[in-house]
Amino acid sequence: MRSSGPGQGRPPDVRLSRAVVALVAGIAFAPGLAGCAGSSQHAGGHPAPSASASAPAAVSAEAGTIHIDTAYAATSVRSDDGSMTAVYMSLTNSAGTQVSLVSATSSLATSVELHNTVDTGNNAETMTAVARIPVPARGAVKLTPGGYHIMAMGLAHPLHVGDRMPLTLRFSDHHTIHLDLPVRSRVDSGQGDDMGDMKGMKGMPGMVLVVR
Amino acid sequence: MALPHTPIPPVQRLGARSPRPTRLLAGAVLALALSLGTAGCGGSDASSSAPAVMQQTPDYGGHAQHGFVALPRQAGTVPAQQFTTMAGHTWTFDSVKPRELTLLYYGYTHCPDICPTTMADLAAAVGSLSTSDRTRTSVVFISTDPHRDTIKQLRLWLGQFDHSFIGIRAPIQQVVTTAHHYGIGVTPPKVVHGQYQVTHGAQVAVLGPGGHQLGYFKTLTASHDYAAEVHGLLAEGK
Repeated sequence: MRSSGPGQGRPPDVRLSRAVVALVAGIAFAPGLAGCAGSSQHAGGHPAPSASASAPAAVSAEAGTIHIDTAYAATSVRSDDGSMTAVYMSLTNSAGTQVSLVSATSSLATSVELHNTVDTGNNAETMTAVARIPVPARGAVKLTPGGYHIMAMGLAHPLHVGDRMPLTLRFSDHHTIHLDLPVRSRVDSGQGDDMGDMKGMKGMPGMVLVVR
Repeated sequence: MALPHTPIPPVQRLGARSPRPTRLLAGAVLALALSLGTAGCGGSDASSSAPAVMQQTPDYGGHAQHGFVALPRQAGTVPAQQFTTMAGHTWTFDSVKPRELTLLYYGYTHCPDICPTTMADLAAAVGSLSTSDRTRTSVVFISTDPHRDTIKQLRLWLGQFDHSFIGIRAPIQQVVTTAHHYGIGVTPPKVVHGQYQVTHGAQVAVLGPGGHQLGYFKTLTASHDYAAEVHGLLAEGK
């Protein structure tokens, strides 16, 4: 309907039908949002395949009082003694006491460690293995390039964009969670908050199981 | 041959804020241990290995933003060390020709985070340059872990980012000395609490003709920022 001269709005039936379309669209997408935040659901089947390699959905999940968000694995790096990669995510703790990530394992890796990048001064850094990554009471910590990260070594096969990586996290409060992480490109991965993916409606984040 | 990664024993709560005396004490002990540890990694042991040249290193400040930071015009000599690339060519710091640039990074290959991400970002940046800019830009990676970074390993590792990247394996003291000249305080690998720890640069140095430093990028600079600045510097005829 072309826009008309002054004094003429859109006919009521057009406005109503547009509202209905908007409402239906909202309802259609809402389960996707609920699924993203779901904790004890077993999201059966496979996630909707990403149309492109540019931004596969990252994983979000709950483990006790810990909310895990934008979890993903970087593409692996080949060495003469095998492949390795790093896993990143944000962890938010709604409890009044600190909870720590204390271990991570993967059926795809011979060893998985928790690491932190430490400034050694004069524009140099080192990476050090740590026993735990604490998530402060009612606080958050981000595992990001240049900061905390999970290092997985001895990968069974290289990980390319679009692959998945299983990862089990164990926390100091004895909650355990199994994640099925998307593999994302390393390029420009240090560019701050990637929360945009989860705010959108990008389909199922992947299978998430909670085991107590 | 990879050296073992031995986890350190569990530590008391990091960042504990409880006022209870035992936690305070544990926190203080931990803080002291950490400060000593990082000082050790920085090579400030009394005996040192910290060469006097570090005192003259420009202070880039605490938390520079991502992107390019230009330095004042650098006069004086560049490091005289002569290295052999993984392709068997001789390379020197003054080999940067007029109207060319070299992006120089000190890192190691058994590194899952900053080093491969930096190289991936640089590969994306260089790959996006025009042919004219690209032929005038070199990326040089100097290993801070020559023990594990053999020539074969360097070729394999760098090749997965960009086959034009130049890899250099040299004696660690020469690596450290030359890095310090460009304000990058890497130190030789050492074993700390049973872990083999290696340092890497937090910056990509930008060398102009003759090897004089024009500035640097913080690592994790976006690939389009690398590319835009490189293009700009080349266009200025630096």
